[in-house]
Amino acid sequence: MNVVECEKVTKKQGSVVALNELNIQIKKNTITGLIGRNGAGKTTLLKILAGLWRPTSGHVEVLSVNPFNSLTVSANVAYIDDSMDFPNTLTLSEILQAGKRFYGNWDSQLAERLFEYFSFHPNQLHTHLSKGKASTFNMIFGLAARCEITLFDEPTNGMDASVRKDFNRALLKDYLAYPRTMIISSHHLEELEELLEDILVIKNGKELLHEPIDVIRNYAIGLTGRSELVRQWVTDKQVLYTEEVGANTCYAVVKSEGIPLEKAKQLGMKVTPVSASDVCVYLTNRTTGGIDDVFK
Amino acid sequence: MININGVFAPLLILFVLIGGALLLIRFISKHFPTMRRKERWLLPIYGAVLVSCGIILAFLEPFEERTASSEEERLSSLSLYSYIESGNIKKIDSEYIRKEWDFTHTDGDLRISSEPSHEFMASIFVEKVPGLENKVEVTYYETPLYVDGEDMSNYIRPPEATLSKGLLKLNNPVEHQYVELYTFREPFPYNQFIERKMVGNQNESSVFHGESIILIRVGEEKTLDLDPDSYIEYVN
Amino acid sequence: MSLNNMSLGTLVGKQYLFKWKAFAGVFNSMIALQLLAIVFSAGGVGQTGTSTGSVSIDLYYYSVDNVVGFTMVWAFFKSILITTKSYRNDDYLFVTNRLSSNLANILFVFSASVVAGLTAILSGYVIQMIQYVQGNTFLTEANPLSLGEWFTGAFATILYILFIGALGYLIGSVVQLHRTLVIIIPVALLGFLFVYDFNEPGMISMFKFYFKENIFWLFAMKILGTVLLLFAASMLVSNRLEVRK
Repeated sequence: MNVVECEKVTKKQGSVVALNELNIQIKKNTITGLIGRNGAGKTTLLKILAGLWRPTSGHVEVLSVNPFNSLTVSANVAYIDDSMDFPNTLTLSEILQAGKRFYGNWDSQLAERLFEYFSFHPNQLHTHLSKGKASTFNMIFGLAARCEITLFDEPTNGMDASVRKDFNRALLKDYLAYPRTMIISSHHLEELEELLEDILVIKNGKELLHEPIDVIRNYAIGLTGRSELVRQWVTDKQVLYTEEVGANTCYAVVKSEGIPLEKAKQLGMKVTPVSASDVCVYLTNRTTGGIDDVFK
Repeated sequence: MININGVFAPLLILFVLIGGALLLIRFISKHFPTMRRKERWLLPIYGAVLVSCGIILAFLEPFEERTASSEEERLSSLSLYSYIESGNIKKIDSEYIRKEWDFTHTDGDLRISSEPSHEFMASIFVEKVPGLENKVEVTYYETPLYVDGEDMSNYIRPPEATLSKGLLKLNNPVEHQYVELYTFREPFPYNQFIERKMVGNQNESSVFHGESIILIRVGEEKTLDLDPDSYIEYVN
Repeated sequence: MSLNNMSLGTLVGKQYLFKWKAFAGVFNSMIALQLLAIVFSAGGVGQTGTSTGSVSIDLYYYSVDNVVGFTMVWAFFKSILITTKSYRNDDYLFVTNRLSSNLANILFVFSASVVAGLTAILSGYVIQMIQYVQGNTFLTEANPLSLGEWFTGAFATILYILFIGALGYLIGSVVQLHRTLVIIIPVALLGFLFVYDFNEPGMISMFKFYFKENIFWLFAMKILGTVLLLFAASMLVSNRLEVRK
């Protein structure tokens, strides 16, 4: 069952096309990583799913209804980003109390425990929190809300490494205990990889790839060898990335589908796996090549 | 005008207000944790101060009520001068007598003067009456002065009269009287719906002057020496 | 996991209660303005008197007209304030849609007007208290207001404040539609004030329609009707608004 369906969704903001005829479906009770570069349309997509923004055209369904102005969607979708301006008149503990009043499935125990674990002070104000602390608090809010769909937009912004780890653990444990649908947007996949089941890569407002994480892990392989050999060998294959790594040595990333690995090895090329996160980086690059091309 | 009530009552009220507020805050903070933030107290405290001011004023009733005068009452107020001119002084209703003095003067001569001569607060008339012998009767008549419908007579101190060493002297109680009164007008939304006029809201002809006259009655046989600087007239 | 279902009525109730906390700050500015108005009224709002020879009589008037006026200005800006991004977004951090958010805001404007109207009227006691503490000769009304008249007047004051508040809410909602309106609307309003001839018959009859109405319940119906229209327009205008930008 799909809890999110987007059909030819376009969002224009002025002359900028943030989403361009995007089509996606997201299954119930999955954790999806929404991967894309800055400006790829991740935030726009999430805000449309949360019912905060309207698409310019196209059809969106969240929990089988149009999310814009829908109470059902608002009550069952939590959208967590780093620009949540909680009112200054409320302390942190009062914000959590308010959350309990609004969200029917609110888990006070979880909220309190995480609140204590990350050593927040109940009488603190949200505006006085550092960026990382604010992100942590927002995460607690999003998890405790225990909504059918939870959207995290760059949730780990500003968090330090150990908090990020804790965040991942907390998210995973809570997800296992109470399965639900989560979409987590990020531009770096590595730290999320262990969490995710599906990966949705978008580029320039269009979906590029939407596959289970295992598929992505085996999506591409790296070939290293003499430049002429590698370059000549990959011409008829889908190349994601090439790079000169040394004198007369070349590294190429190609889509693994239909690549005769044994033959490549016989030809003297080194075959290496490419991590899911690297795949995403190569996929979302504007052109083949990379920053090096700029300096050529 | 310092009296114990005037000094201590406000202090006591202040004390009770502050003490009460502090106790209330302590009590509520204990039982309602969300009220611990100080800025939340501003509105309840403000409201409590307003209401308690109202209650205290209702209990103390420290203010005088305005004497409502009707339009007719003011217009029908009689002219003392016309009574004097027509010689019907005796017919003036005694309610207009503010003050009376009775002196005995055995001497044949009597000097009369007012102080200050030009700014004396009443017109002075002298009447020689047969059979009064050594008695000197001084009567101060006054018809009300209305400011905005309010009879101000009670706030104006009457003149003073003394007789010694053959001189009847009429004085203003103080050199210059300043009467300051304060009143409260209902805010404008009230006026839109309240049919009857409030005393305080009559703008037309807000000042209505009255007359003040001092009449001095002496025995017929006395010889009077009137101060030429003071405006003193004979009735007949 | 079960879906979280909430009826519109329940939600509006929750949001309304939430607003009392989230918007608590607006009352602090109201108190500051009312106190300022009381200070401005300290010398009286009017005076009449006479001087005859050696006697000068002055009668000074005190009233809460200033306080009510300041409170109306406050009501206008408070209503605009709660339509601005940071206040509006408070709702969208929790459960809401545009209808429920507007309804809760409208309820808040209603109750804020009651609070503002009552405090403005009651501030008269503070003014009288100051007179008492100063030991002035203070005269009270000879025909004091009956309880019914007091409530009528208080209710009328509340309605005036509500009227201004609803106007502010509509203007605030319209301004939120587009960034440029932040400039266009105030300029247009000011221009209108300068150019418009207020003695024009349309304006006069409108003025009479509201402010010369001497029958209270008719006045209340007129004001409440207008207020509902203003709020309905605000809801219509903001129902397509994109939030948390």
